[in-house]
Amino acid sequence: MLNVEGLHAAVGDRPILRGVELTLRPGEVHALMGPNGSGKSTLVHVLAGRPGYRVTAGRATLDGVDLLAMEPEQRAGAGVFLGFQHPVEIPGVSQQLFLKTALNALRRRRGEAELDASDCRERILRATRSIGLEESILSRSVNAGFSGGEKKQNELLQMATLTPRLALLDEMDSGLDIDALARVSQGIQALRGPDRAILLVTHHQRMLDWVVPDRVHVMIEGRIVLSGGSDLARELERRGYGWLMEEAA
Amino acid sequence: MNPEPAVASALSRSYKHGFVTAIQADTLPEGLDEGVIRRISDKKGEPEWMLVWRLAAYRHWLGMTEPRWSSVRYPAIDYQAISYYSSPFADARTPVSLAEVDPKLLATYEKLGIPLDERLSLAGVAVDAVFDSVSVATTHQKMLAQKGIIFCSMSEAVREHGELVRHHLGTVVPSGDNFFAALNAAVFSDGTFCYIPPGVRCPMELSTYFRINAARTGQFERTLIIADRDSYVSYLEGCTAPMRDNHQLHAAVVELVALEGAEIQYATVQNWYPGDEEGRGGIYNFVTKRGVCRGARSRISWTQVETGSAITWKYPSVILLGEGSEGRFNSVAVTHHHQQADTGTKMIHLGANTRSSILSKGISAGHGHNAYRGLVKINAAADHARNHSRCDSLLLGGSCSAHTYPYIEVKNASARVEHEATTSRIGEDQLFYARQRGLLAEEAVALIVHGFCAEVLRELPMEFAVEARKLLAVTLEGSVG
Amino acid sequence: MNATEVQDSYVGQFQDHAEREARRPPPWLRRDRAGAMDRFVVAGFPTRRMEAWKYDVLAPVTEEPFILSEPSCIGLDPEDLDPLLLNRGEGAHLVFVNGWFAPTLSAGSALPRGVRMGGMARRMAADPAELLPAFSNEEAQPDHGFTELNRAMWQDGAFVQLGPELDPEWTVQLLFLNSESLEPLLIQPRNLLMVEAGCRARVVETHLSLGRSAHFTNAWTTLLLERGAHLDYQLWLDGGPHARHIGSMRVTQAADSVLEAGLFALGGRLTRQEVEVNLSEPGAECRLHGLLAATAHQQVDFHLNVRHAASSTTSHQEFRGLADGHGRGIFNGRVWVAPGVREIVSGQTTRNMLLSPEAEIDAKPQLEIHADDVQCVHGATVGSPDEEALFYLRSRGLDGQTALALLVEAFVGDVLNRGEPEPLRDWMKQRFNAWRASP
Repeated sequence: MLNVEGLHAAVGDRPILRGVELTLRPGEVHALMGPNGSGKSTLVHVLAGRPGYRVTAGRATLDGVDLLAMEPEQRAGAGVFLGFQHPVEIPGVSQQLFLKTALNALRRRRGEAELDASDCRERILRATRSIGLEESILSRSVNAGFSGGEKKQNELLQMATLTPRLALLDEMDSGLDIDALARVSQGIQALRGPDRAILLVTHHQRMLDWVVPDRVHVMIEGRIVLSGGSDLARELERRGYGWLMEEAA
Repeated sequence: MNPEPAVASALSRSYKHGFVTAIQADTLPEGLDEGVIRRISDKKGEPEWMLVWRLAAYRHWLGMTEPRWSSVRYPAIDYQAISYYSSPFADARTPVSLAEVDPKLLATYEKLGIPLDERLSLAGVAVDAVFDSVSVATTHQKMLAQKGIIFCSMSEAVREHGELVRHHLGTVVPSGDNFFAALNAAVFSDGTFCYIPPGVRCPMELSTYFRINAARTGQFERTLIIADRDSYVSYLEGCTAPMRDNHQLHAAVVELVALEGAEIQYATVQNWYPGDEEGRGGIYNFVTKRGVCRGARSRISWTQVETGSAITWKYPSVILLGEGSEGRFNSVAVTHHHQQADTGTKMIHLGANTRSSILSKGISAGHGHNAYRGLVKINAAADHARNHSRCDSLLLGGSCSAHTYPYIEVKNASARVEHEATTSRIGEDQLFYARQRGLLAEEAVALIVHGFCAEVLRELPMEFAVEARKLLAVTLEGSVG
Repeated sequence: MNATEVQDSYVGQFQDHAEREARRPPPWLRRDRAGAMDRFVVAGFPTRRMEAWKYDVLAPVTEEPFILSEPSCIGLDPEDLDPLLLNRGEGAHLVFVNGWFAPTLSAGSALPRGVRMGGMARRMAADPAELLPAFSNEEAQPDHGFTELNRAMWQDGAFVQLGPELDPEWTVQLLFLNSESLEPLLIQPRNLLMVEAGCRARVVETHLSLGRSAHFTNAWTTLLLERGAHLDYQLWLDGGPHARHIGSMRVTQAADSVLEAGLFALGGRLTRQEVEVNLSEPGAECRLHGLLAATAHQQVDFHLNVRHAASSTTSHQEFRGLADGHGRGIFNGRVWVAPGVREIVSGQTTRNMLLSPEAEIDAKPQLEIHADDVQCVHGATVGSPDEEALFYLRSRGLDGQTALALLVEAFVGDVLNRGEPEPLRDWMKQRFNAWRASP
């Protein structure tokens, strides 16, 4: 479903990605691990089309369609969802309004009829309950004044509402206490599906106890240097990244 | 990826109210002298005192110079090239029933979304419809009269409620207050008069819809609202005009009087024709609005959504005289293309324990110029006065400007005045977040701007909040870019 | 006298001054002075009808005549200056009496390499060509009657040039000392401070008075920071309750230069200090802080204008205002961002405290933004000491006056405690306390 080939990207003149190769098939969950600054977050941001990153070489396709040529909202329309490590606050805009606007924007793009207010509300409510959030979260402004855990769960609420084909989840486990981590992990687990691929960017192995990945990749200095099964994560937890960095060097 | 192309398309405006009604009009020739003022007064069948008051204002105006202290810039206005009276009626008499009104006029208001037939009108809203220089119709008058509420055109009020008008007219905005207020006092043609008797809570939203239609005319309406002891009224005005290449002057005066325990909520959704993308045409909106909280514990709030006009110059103010009285000002002002706005408020604290709050949201796009100018003045006698002001400016694009000029004058040590202001551009991370969820850039801009203004929009009656939100989105069309 | 008569008296004094000027000035200077005088005659004194002067009651300087000061001998020994001097360590001080450089009172350790300083009149006589560029700097031209008056009739002032190899601890004090005299004097210093590329320097400018003189100091200071220069500058205006002071300071900052400035004004019949900072190249940064304080019938006005003319420039302002008695404090802080510049950060805070029923504060922070890549904030508050805090302190046994003094100290402490080095801080606090204690 997702094919990344020889992807190079830079911020300004500074190269960050130096030839990433990655393939995800429908139904798969892959974990992307690696030390700070290795380029994990950059990869998902480049795939989602964040302004400020410059692709210098390589390809990335979703179901054979070139992702890199598209605007961010077109990629969203094609089914790409980015779960932000730091979800952005939009003061004054209620979640309900935001989700309704996004949902109908995606439906328009897919050539589907827009949903009326009550159908929208119904779908959003279902998603809210499936993530285990209170309905009251819908009348609050997007991410404004949310706790760290609420922000991450809210990203999952948006994912559950917008039903993407490919979810790129950027460090959904950062800054969470153990209870919040459990809730977020269970949420992700619930969002697994046969038609959906998920790429989990994470520093730690603990989330992978709940969301057992099909594949684990290690990124170092902008390249995936090692891939393996879910055991690899545990090995990394034990040995750290030092031995891999030496090998990479 | 640069969000700017999208912001551009979100701002290329479409003005939905720019049509002209083809109608026979009784229009005075261009030019201004005492004769013109006598003819206006005569057409309206005014009593002698009203004419005397107008002439005094005119003589005062002759000795005044146009203010130049604000940040707006425009070529000199030729006051002899304006017609000061234009009526869609052959005789000056206001029609007694809608049946007498030219169907073209009724159709005009229907097209603007303001049906004048009471059976079709928006639930819970009474409308006074002003077309160029005269009031066309005022709805729900009978029902309101049962509660003792007077809601009528200013012309009718001068004729029917002369003493009440005479007692209050010019007491809040004196006829010589400023250049444009003096001009208005001399030539004002119509407007709305409201009186809410003691203890009455007005059961409907009262509103005036101002429409400029005729070319080369100015509109000079005058509104006076008196809320007697412990009464309450919510009032709303809306305004539109045809698209024309030349500028037209709108110089209104609004006076509010709140007696002991009374509350007036005054809201404006201003959508005068703003001119085109090159800055051709549009209304010069030079307006004096002021309320006085005359009685103890009285309250006045101004809420405005300013999306139209080539130039907006207005400072809806509150004089806080009564002990414990409260003034509020909530504003959204949007300038796009070559629009200019210099707007804000004055909160004059004269009485003890008076409170005021100011919330201003300015949005500049294109070559728009937006200035907040506000005065908070605490006089020596205003013990324990309080003010809080917040002014935020949002910039869309690199060619616009946003200015903030707060004036804080405090002569009483027990006062507490706080002012805070921010200026920044629309957040790139917010834009990306919304686009990642599938929103088009212009949808994202409209949504973020809506959020930026939400606190102010909440102050509007519901129907108008929806209208205001749509207006914001339309006004900012094409701003991404 | 009315303002026109006062203006006429200056026209007369200008002619005398031009005839008596001992050393023959270079032709460009004569033209410069004459041009300024012509413009002064046309412009006159500012009035309250002008937006920039709307809060100033200027009568104390426009409706009383002042006589141009002459060099005078005040019979002071250098030791007499001790309480007025800050230098305990390395550094130098230049003393000016009624605006005239007093070499015999000035002293300092041997000037480090690359440092030149002295009186402006001598400098002009010695090498006028050297001063021409600074005097014709486009960004530092007069813009109102007072600056024109200085330009027409300045007599002396400080010339300071600080070179790159200066020890940052080496402090220059410019001590402007006004003496008693029979007639109220017009004192017009013209100062030029240049900090060369990469230099870190510290300058303290103090305006103090011997006795109770009611002179009018009309000062004009040009400050040039070259690329990468770093200047710590403190201005202390403390000329006594009768002093009249109108000061204009124009700063031009080149790339990556940093100005850290403290501005302090304690009373005066009328004190108005203008500071215009031009952040004219990328990377320039200014951090301004200060205190204006007025009591009795004093009037103190700070008029700041920070101009972000280049991208990646930063400004911070942190000011306190204190008004007691019938005193009046005025704060006018403008931040201007030029069209087309990027990455601008600007913050401004002014907090003001009223201590008596007759005191008044007028605050006017302004943002004028013509570009969109900006983050600008300002905040202004006016109020009285927190009653809760007062009560809290009194409940702990402090009497009302002590409690109030403590709160005032905390209030001004935010800006008063920033001075470096420590002796300066102590000296400032001591002067502030003396001012608070004065009737």
